[in-house]
Amino acid sequence: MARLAKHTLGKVAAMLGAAGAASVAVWAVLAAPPNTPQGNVKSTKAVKFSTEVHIRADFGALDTGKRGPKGEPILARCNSCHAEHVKAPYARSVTDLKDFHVGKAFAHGTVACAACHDLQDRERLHLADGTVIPLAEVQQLCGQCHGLQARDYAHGAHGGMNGYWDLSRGPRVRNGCVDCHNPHAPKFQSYAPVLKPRDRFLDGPH
Amino acid sequence: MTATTPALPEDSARRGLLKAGVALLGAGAFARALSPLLDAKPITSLAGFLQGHYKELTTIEKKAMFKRLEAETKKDYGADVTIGDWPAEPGVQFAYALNLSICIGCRKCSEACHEENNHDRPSGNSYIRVLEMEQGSMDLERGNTTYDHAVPAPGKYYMPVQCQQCENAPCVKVCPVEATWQEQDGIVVVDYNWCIGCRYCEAACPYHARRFNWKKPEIAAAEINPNQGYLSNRIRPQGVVEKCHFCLHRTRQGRLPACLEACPTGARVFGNVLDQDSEIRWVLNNKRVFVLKEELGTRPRFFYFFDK
Repeated sequence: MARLAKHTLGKVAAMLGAAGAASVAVWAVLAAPPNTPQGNVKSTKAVKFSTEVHIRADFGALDTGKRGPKGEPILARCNSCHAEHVKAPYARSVTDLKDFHVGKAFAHGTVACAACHDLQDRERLHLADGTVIPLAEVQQLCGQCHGLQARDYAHGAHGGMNGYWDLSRGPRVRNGCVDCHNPHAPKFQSYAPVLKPRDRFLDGPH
Repeated sequence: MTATTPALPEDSARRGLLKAGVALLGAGAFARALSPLLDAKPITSLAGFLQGHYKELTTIEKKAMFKRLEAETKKDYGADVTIGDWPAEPGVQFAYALNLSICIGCRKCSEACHEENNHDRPSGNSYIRVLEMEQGSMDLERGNTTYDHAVPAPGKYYMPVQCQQCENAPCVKVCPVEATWQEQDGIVVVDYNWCIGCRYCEAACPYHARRFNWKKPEIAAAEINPNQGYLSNRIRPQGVVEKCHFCLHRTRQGRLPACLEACPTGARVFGNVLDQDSEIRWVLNNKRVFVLKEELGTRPRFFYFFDK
């Protein structure tokens, strides 16, 4: 079973490699210092649609459920426990998790934790071919399976953005995959719509 | 022999009295009929009344006009604003595409438009109307704009509709005073100071994209977007028609439109179609795009597509 999964992933990666040269080019320029917890990843090379990708503040950490004096969530970095004294093996699935990991929503097919998270370093990820990548480059990992979305993203046709359409006149910052999709439950959350139109006649005078 | 009866003095007096009474009534009614005119405040200054058509103004005249409009905004709304003018740039043809597969109907675009373009606050006006559509149907008549439940709802998809900036625009053709026209980069604009408010364009638009200012827009000074364009988001006077202008005060400076920046899903793609490497060009080349009401021959530059 595991071998089959690995085989499929490998195949997808190979297909992506062959088909999505453009997307790979974009991923390749997302060079950030490993485990950058916040700020944007700046693309440096002059590639098509070179932009900055927004990076979440809680990368590589888990919300402990406790709140600080200003109501800010207290985050525990993965490696503050896992680096040294907790050498627990990777859980097979979310139901095997202990302590404050419990209750983490999980709805992402049947992927196991270790399919994405690196076995040695909890604050790193690994691709299907075993290449270890920093969390900030998570898009490279998502794109292995979600090739169509990765292709659209690479061409500026998926994911919210801010800034300039004309990059010769100003920068652009884009959302990364996990800004909108929780990697553990990636379905886009439902929204309460804003600004309901008002009818001059039915909704009374203004 | 018939004796003519001399008119009695009382009769002539009565007639005179009646005449005077009727005259007084008439004068009263006339004054009453005209009284709204006396109460009405002038809707435009003398300089505004004498202002020429935008296209016939010199740069100096335009500058003076923007100054006057800025002062009027300060007086009427208490806000310091700058009104600018950005001409269409050569080598730029704007186009917009919208991915219906990932639009979730949150109306954030509509809200961003409301704020960016200094719309009347009480009426919640916006240039974007989001239709909630049945999956499997393209019947715009059955689109619902007033949905008020969590989105996306099962079995529905969402279609935001705004000005399609038609190449062959019916609204431009019907304007009797040429107060609306298409610019070189494809944006259809309105000179709000030249518009006479006949609303022919509103009736002519097959996309229901134009709005009429029934009253003077109400907007708090703190909420006014001070970066304004003469042909775009400056506060419109009462009695004129307005419409989406692809945020030309932003886009002609290279920025993305407000509705695109507000979109949380990235359903909106905007850019210059003349640029071979642009995102919009990629979408037009690679997605199965369509336009609304193609059979009318309006040739919109606003495209829609589904992913699957």
